[in-house]
Amino acid sequence: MNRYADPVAVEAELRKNLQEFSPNEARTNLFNLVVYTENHDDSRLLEALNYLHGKRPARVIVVKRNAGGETRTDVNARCVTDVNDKVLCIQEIVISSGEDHAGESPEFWTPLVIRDIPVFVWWLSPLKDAPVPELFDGIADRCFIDSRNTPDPHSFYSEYAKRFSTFNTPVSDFSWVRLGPLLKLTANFFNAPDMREKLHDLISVQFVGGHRSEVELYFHWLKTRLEWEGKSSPLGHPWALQVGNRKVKLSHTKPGVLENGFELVFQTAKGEQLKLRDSKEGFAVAEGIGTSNYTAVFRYLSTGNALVTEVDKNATDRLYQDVLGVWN
Amino acid sequence: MFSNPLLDGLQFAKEPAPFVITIFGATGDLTRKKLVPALFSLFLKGNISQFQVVGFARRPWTKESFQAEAASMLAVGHYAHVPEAQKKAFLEKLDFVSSTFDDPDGYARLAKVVNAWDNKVYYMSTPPDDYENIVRNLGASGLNKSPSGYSRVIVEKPFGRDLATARELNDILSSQLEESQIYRIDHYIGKETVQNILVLRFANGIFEPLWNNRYIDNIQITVSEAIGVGTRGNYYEKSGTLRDMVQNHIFQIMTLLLMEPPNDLSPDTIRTEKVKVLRSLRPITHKDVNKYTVRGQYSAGISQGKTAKGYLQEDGVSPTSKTETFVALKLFLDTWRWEGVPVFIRVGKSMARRMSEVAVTFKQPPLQIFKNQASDGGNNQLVIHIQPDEGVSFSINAKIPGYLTQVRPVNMDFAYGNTFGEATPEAYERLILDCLVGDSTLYTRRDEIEASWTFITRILQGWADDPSPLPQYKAGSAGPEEAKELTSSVGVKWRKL
Repeated sequence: MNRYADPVAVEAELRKNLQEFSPNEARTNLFNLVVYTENHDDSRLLEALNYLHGKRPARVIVVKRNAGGETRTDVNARCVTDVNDKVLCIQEIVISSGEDHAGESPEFWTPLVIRDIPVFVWWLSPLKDAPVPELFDGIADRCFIDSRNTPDPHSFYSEYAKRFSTFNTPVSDFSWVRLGPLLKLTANFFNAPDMREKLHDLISVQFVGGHRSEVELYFHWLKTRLEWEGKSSPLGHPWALQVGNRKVKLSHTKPGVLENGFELVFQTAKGEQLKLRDSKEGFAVAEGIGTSNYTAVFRYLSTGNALVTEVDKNATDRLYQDVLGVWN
Repeated sequence: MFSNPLLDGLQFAKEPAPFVITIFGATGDLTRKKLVPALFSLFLKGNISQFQVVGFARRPWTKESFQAEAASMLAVGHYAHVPEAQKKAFLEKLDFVSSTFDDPDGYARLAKVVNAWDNKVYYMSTPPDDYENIVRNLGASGLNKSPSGYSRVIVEKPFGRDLATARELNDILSSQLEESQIYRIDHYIGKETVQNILVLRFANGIFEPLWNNRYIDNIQITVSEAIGVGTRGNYYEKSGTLRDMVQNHIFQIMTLLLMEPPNDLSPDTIRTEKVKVLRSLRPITHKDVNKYTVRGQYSAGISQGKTAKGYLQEDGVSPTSKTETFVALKLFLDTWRWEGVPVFIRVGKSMARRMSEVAVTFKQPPLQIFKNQASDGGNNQLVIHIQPDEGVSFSINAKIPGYLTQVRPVNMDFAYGNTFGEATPEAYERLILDCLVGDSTLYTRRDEIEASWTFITRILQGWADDPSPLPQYKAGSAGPEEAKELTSSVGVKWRKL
């Protein structure tokens, strides 16, 4: 194929590939997914595309940044036949953006997207490299980022939250999406009548484990929901917040990968300590007064889970908006 | 009472609280084919984790033998490859009480098991004749109430044989249970495509303005099966197609299709709108029963490439039986929206193919300017394919390329299978989960059951007094010839099977 992709040739080659897999099958593509990645074998990308494969037919355009050499385009199709003998395909267009960086420009790939279906841009590259989502205004229907991809989530969010209200393109942050099961777990944990009282009497929350980006979002969620006031601090330094006359301290210890396990330690003004942790067996368990026999199904979301969850939505999560809207 | 602001804005999947489910008639086919697989699937997906399943039946099974039977239920199909550890974790949650349905001692033993749980569900997987004994004994043993949780009963069809028996059954249930505790199941409405009727109508702005007698010419609902009654001859002799399919499944589809837009998705709002449809059906009076209904019975023929028996030759069927295996109806709704729009229903066994669909035929343009248009006018049709090949197609007229202006209908298709790769959940999974979380939207309310039986019972009475022989149709055909008169009288043809 030529250095710069000819959309007609790309379509012809895709058609040829698809024909080989399933000559007579009508296909529906639900969306275009454009992925910007630095790492050509990014395990998150591979896992996500493997998860997507067979669940949602789509055209996936992978833009490999800084690929070296000349910019080039390759096409491929992956199809799977399900139990009902239906064929679902992912059409892949891989743009290796060479030394001239031409392939990174949205103008390079916009002629390759299927019209009239949504275009999602997933920025898997470092977040500092480009203004996302502004770079894709008018081109993308939504952008996906992952604030795990930043070395300093606190600074990132402080700056990002200021821009957030000006975004024209809705954004999903996979760190936030991954946090979803933990938010629900916490909300359910404090939902029993006797536990609700404790929720309004908390004086400290300690998050053990988890990535700093996720913990930062989790603390801001607690802060906005429970109307705690005060400024956040870079993680590693406890947050000193206040509600009425009560002081609330939030701290993060043993940073790591959320999926490797977590423990939440809640302390009330009456001196009660409640713990909620991952049992590592698909359940979360609790310790402390009023929590006997508490177990709940708890599953982490993989990046593939998060991707499939997000491509089925059409707007920024309202709660995420709330959290970023009052960020300080 | 303190609030829980953490719940605000979170979207929860259906996550039931810990529960125990008792299956009455647990040794039967429904448990083997549907209930145990559905519960296992919910367990595998993480929808349920803290629960117990108690089988209750006459056979002298034990906890161990019930577990062994359940293991064999999960050893086939797509569960065959599930890791043994996961199966074991599920099977350990199974228990069994061996008892007749009228023995108070059996219920005392059941109470010992289920009273360890706050939330209790009882699944009536028995013949309806047993419901009374079960419900009265649940009441007598106090199991119909759960002060610190809930106590719910799922009732399988058939729900009565006519209006009188349906009312009697409702009265029996009401003697021990509140209406909010009763979940009358109709698995047909648990199908994704049936639920998609609501989404298609009310999530798309283009259909609702056209969804009335100004733009719709007629509606056809077809549910045809390629096989005969097989081993169910005994059962079918007591029911027939009108009771077995129309009163429940077909009316569920019809009410979703014809109801007014609900204000919200709450169970009672939707069910109230559905009841209004049933109450708006123009009654088919005794003298008109042959004008608006056609019955049929299949005779020997060729079905699915094989010779097929006639109904009267099936096992368990009386050689003089007048039980219908085919029903066609022409219905009208007396409402502003639907006045004058015929709704045709066609249901049968041993027909040309297995197929369920709803076809909405729109009226032709007021003036035909294209002279080469198809002779039948090429009315636009919106077809909801329920099974197989679930999806929706819409036929429009298009110009055939060439110098002449020739018009022919073409289809715009949406097929679930080619769009979403995830297997759609089994209807029973969805419905059981709904019951566990207290969502009764897809279950049938008392007034809905009684409104449908009120309409159906008039037809049954009309047929009972009709001495004429039952029209026959060959196995593998599209039904009796007489059914064509129902549609042709208003200038409509049945869709091809």
